[in-house]
Amino acid sequence: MKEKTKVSDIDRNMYDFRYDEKDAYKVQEGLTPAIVEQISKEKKDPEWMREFRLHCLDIYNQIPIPDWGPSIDGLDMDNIVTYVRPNTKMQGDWKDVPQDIKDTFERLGIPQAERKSLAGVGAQYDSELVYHNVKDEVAQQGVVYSDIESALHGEYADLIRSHFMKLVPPTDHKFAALHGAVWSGGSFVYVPEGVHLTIPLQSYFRLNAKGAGQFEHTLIIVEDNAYLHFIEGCSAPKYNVANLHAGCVELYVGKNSTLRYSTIENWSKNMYNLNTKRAIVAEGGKIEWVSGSFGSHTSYLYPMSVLQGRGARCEFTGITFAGKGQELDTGAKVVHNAPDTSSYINTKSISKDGGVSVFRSAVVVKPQAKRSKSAVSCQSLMVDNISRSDTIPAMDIRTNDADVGHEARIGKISDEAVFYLMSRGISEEDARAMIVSGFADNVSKELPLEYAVEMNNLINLEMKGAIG
Amino acid sequence: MAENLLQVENLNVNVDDKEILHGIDLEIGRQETHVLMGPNGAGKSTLGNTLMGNPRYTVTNGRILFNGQDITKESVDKRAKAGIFLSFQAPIEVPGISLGDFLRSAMEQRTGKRMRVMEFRKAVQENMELLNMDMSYLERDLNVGFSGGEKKKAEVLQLLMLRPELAILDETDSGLDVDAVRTVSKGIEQYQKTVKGSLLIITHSTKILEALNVDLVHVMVQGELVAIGDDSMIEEINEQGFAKYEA
Amino acid sequence: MNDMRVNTLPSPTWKWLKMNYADVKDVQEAQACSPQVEIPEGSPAVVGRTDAAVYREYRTGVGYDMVKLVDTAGDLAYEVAAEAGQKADKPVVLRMDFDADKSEAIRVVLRAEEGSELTVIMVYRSKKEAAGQAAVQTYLDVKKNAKINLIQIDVLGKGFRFFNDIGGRLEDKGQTDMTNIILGGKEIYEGCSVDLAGRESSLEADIGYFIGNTVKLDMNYEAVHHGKKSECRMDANGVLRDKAEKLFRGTIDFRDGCAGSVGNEKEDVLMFDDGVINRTIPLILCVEEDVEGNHGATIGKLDNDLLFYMESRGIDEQSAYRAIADARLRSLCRKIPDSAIRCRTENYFESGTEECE
Repeated sequence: MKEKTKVSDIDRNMYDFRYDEKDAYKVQEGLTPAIVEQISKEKKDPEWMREFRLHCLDIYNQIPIPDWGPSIDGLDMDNIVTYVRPNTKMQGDWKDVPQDIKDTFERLGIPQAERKSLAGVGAQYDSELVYHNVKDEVAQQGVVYSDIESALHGEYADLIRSHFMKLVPPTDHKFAALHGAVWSGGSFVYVPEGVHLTIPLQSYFRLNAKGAGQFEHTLIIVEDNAYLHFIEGCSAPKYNVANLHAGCVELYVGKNSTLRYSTIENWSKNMYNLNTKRAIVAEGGKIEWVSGSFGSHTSYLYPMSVLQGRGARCEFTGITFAGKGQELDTGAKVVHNAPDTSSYINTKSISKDGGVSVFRSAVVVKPQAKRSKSAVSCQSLMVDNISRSDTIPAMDIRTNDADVGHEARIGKISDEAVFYLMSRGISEEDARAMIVSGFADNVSKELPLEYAVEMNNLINLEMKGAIG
Repeated sequence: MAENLLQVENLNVNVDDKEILHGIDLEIGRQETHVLMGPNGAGKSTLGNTLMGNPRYTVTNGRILFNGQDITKESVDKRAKAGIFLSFQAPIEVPGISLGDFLRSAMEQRTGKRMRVMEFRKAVQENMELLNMDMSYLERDLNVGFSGGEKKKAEVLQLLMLRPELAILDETDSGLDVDAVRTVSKGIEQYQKTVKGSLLIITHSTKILEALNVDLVHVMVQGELVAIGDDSMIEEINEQGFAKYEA
Repeated sequence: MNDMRVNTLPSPTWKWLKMNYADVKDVQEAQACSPQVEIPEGSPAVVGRTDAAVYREYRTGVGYDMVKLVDTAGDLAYEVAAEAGQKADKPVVLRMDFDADKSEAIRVVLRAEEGSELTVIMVYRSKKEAAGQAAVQTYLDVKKNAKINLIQIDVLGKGFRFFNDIGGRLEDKGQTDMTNIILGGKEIYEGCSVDLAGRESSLEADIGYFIGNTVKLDMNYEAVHHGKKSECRMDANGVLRDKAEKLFRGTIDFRDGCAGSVGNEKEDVLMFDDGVINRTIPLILCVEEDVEGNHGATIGKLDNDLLFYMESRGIDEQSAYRAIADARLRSLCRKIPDSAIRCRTENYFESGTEECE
């Protein structure tokens, strides 16, 4: 008498549209010193950057692929185009952006969001930023929000050189090295001391070209006593060949500053998302990560927080929804390097329709991190019995003067809860979708309203289908 | 002549392959208030859950007619939309969904009409005042961290808002202090007065019944209905217990 | 023998954490060691020798290199069995005295036939200051409706390298109640893998360690749920002092078909001194919808409220820690069903000697 809800695949119409890569400049597929040299030349790199790229390529060739985590056998670097430049220069005025690209972002709601609630917007299309704009009053406060390429040649050139891939060195792992070799696009943000940005900045990354890789670099420096909320959105149309995203995010949080970094990732399901994000937090500072992972074929994503100064804090709130054909290996890393630091990690994951979600974490408390606190909580929901959900949390505690707690829970949607909701007239599929939305509530509460709405829509799309 | 609101015919019910209810017959007319009494473990809650269609309970024989329609195989939400309501002994906690959002979406399901936030708040306010509930409860997650009394009030609030034709109240008075019982009982009176629906009150105590007009009392023992009578039976059971029926 | 790779995590993670396995250098080939066996009067338990061939396919916690190590001792396994329907609930005691400066190994099979019960205490001892290498591998074979209670107590000398390995399989409604008390040794590898193969089979494991100096303890426990409605509970509680290092791997693995299963894992670690290293990796792996898995860990100092309360009654911090450690050990020792062994274990903990009046 009990019937199972059959859930169909997500309707991705909202994201799944694409335009021809007309007149776009591309490098050849694959990865050779010649290709890296060519990218460097195209991008008019300073000499140190050209050398750095080639050095990274060497490292890339030496490091083996990881022997843990989901398979990336479907990813063949020889078939990935590492650089696709759209046929436009970066624009500061929306009306100058070419029509097809403009249409793409219009459909994703980017310019509307800027008008409504953002202090500045950057939009990347394939390998290059096509649009960048900051509100005047924000720029007047000394806030810099630009693409990295112009920053490399402008007045912040030295600052970039002293910070670029210093937090995430190319030796960190194979795809960090790859990123160093072929990176292109991304954003540079500088928030001067004492500046509180009350409205967020946003970057939107769109990968349109088939079989391409996106390797944007985001470098954010928040000086002391400042506040910034940075939002990142990602999407791509679906192709039947693998696409690759190996971005790198480096965040420097000054004394007593707070940086909130929110991501809603909704890459198409042919995407390999091998992304590296890291923050270093000075005395009294705070990094807040809000992370929603819905898309991609395979993800490796573990934002890391290095709590370097006394009293530095980290909060991580994440949700991962793995549907059919997806292997999403996500989580967080925290290193407590100073006294009185604290970390709070709260994640939810949902596995459905044969999807695999893995929560992976590491909390390291160094001997000098006296009076530190860490609490990790992860909950997993299994929607059916063909999916998989693993929890792999590691803790390495090297002082006795620390308070570390961990809890993990795995289970299914409670039959009792479904019955209760149905007894009030709600259909089974609505009831199950409501419970899953409620389960994801910790993240949607942390997101700006439009994003929370978008996330709930994604969950509803994932959960609903014909009851069979 | 119009048919009864609820007609239960020769109902046998299993839980985990064990038969709990053996051949239950029950009729409830429109605007009638019935009380179902019986010792612990008699099967009273099983009957309530079966009428609501809880999938844990399997009907092996007999049928349930509601407004003349056979609903024995109907899904839980369809029964709710048709006008059956069950208040739970221990309402489940649903984190992440606020009482307000939940109630509004249930009302929309019941009426089939979209409801605006202001319209909803206006409708709910009067009933919350009657139940001494602060409007801030609407923002709290459904039943999460509610005390026993608060959970029961939230159930009665849903009863008043959803306006079912048949309300099955399962031990709505258990575990409540005197004030809470009075409030809940006021809510039920309000339901009788304004909704003019029928009630099946499942209880083994009698406090909540004092202020209500009861039409018929049923006694259930070991999965069978063994006696039926008027409201004088309540007092009798109050004094002498169920011994007489348990022979 | 040379090197061994032991205690491999069922699903690996980042290399830099160095938790995926332990590599052990310069392992000595072993000689056979014979335990002293005490069977209580009137006990139906049967003690004998077996080649243990049927058990070689069992997965164990320490892993295949352990099988190879114990094989170098080349001797038959000792078997303690309860035949069908027999209740050998009075403890059979296997006392293993390991010699100093030697490498010794022993294999034990505990077999409980249908409807039987078997209780076994295994005590690992040596001279107090002795150094050496000891290896014990124990197979648990629990048939339908049978139960094995196993208590293992490690009171080895301060210089010992010790491998203690368990592999078990439980049939329908089979039960295992396991208590593992770790007090002695210098470099300790503990592994345990139990296959909850049967419907409604259940594993209860209480692990307690109390280590100090520069002792290194490396553990790998796993409960593999195959049977429907199978249950496991793993509690690992310990106290770390001086420069002791501990790594606990604990895995609940819900496999295909184990619907209705429940797994609970709990860890509570009291870090006495500032030089200790405490590492933990509790895995829950799951491919089944209808299961419930929980893990909780508390790591660190004594609860401030508790400490304040004790100090307000005149107990200083050191004594408070000591009192809590004592209380934890005593509560674990209550599970030893033999008063003399219980007393000796408590005394070993308190004074390093096993003397009991």
